[in-house]
Amino acid sequence: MDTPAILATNIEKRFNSDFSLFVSHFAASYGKVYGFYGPNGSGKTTFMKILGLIISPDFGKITINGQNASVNSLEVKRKMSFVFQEPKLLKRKIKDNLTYPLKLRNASVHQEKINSILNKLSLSPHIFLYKKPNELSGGEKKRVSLAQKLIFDPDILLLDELTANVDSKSLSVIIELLTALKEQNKCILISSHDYEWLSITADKIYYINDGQLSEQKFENDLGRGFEYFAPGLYRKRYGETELNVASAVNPADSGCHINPEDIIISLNEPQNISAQNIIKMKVNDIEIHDNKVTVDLVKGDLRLVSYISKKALFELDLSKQKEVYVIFKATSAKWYK
Amino acid sequence: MFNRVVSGKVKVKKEGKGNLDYLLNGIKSAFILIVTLDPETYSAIFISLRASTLSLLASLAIGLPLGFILGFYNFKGKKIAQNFVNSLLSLPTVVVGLFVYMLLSSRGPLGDFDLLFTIKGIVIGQFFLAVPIIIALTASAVESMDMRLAEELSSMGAGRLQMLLTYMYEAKPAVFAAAVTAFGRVFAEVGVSMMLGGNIKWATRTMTTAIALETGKGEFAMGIALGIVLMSIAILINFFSMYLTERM
Repeated sequence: MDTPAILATNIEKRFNSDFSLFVSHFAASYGKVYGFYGPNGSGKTTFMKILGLIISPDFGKITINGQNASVNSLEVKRKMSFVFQEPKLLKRKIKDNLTYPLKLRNASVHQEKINSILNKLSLSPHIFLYKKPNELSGGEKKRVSLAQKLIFDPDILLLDELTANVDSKSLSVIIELLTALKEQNKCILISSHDYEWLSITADKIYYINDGQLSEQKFENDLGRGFEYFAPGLYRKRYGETELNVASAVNPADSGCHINPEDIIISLNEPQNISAQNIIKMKVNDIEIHDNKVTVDLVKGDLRLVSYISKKALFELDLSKQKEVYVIFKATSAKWYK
Repeated sequence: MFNRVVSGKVKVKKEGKGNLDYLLNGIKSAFILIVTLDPETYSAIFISLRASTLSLLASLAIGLPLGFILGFYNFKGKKIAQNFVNSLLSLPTVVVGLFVYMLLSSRGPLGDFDLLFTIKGIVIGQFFLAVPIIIALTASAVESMDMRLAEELSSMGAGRLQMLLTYMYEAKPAVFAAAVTAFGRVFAEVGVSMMLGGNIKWATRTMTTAIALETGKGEFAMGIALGIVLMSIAILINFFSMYLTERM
């Protein structure tokens, strides 16, 4: 088997006592796109920065192309790129921002190459080269940052929260570019909290939560096999229950899941409500955490988890075996490949 | 007391309207000295500029990297180091003069170099006045900069020196302000120049030591002339720095 582009083993990083990240094994190969999905504060960015040799783990080993690497491995880092969630460009013209990484490497500047990368990112060189960072929008900044990180032809590309603060135009431009880069045999790692987007882009998706890495796994996985029911709506049967979810395109063999935060519990059957799913279920279990309450709900084969607040728990006076109405919107479905 | 100093030493018409005339005459003679390019006056101006510029350059060379280290890295005793540098900001010039005098005097460790009562001597003393300003202001500028910049530079493969240079470039308004402040301090000081330079005419007499001497002698014209030049240069530098900072 080929040497993996990135291999991380037994990575551990602690931030005081509140948060720790532990990943026993992660490997990434060239020509593949890897997605990291998880809620805010789950450790996605930390893990990406450790893999990108920007911060050091407390323990663990990282090899890049089979070579041991650390934050101080300048030569290794110069073949890698990291695009940050909120890129920080230098306070100089975009032209100088783009040539900066080349100057760091004592590499020659080819204007045609700069123009070609800018064009690929829909940034016309004659307009953007002479602008300053404070004249750019969030999406443009991200694209300029991406251009800055591609100018030196890195083998490994890490993109943190790529979809955050990016307009749809920038996003489609970026997706096109990523496809081209993948064909050039680059190893690409992307983190995002937009699962749907990741599922279109990535070959393999990892789920990060509470500093733990796992291959995609969701609380409320409704699985695949949804069928057309009404324009934009798709339906699947769970025993006697029908679940309705929304999708812009035919989900074909895609699956979907519902975030536990998006599931509402009501004691009475709601009337005249826009939500397309109202299911009578039984409370199976209640777990009280510091910041939320996890309510486990069942009806036949169907199991759902809802996160509610402590206040809601006391107001509804929920207990095990109590019958409740479980409500979620068809549009809260998150799709995956 | 004022009258006592005045008596006899300054060429003032006794029958004039007292203090005002005598002041106006001083200013008039001062302008004559400036306009006629009086060699003695200009010698003091150039010696001042030379000493201050050299000491500023030396303190930038040492102070910028030290300020960067102090602001950028986290290390044990960082707070103590910062407090120490900050307390050096208010170092009295005569104390610096005294210590450097002891270093440079013939019995001192650097006595063999014959630096006492030379411009180099003044430069060494002024360096100690300027360098804490450069270190402290650079450190606080670097510290206040966005931490994302360090991560961006690190991710692009910048080494330590490249990181330092980029930071100085990115913080150039603050670095420039530090340089202007330090220059102002050394340019206007009198204690170090007097003690280490010795106020030797044509050699180490600076604007400030000349003013002190001439005033003591009751020769106000040259004092006023030098004062005008000193203030003009100070105002000019400030306007220039304002203009540059706005453009940065």
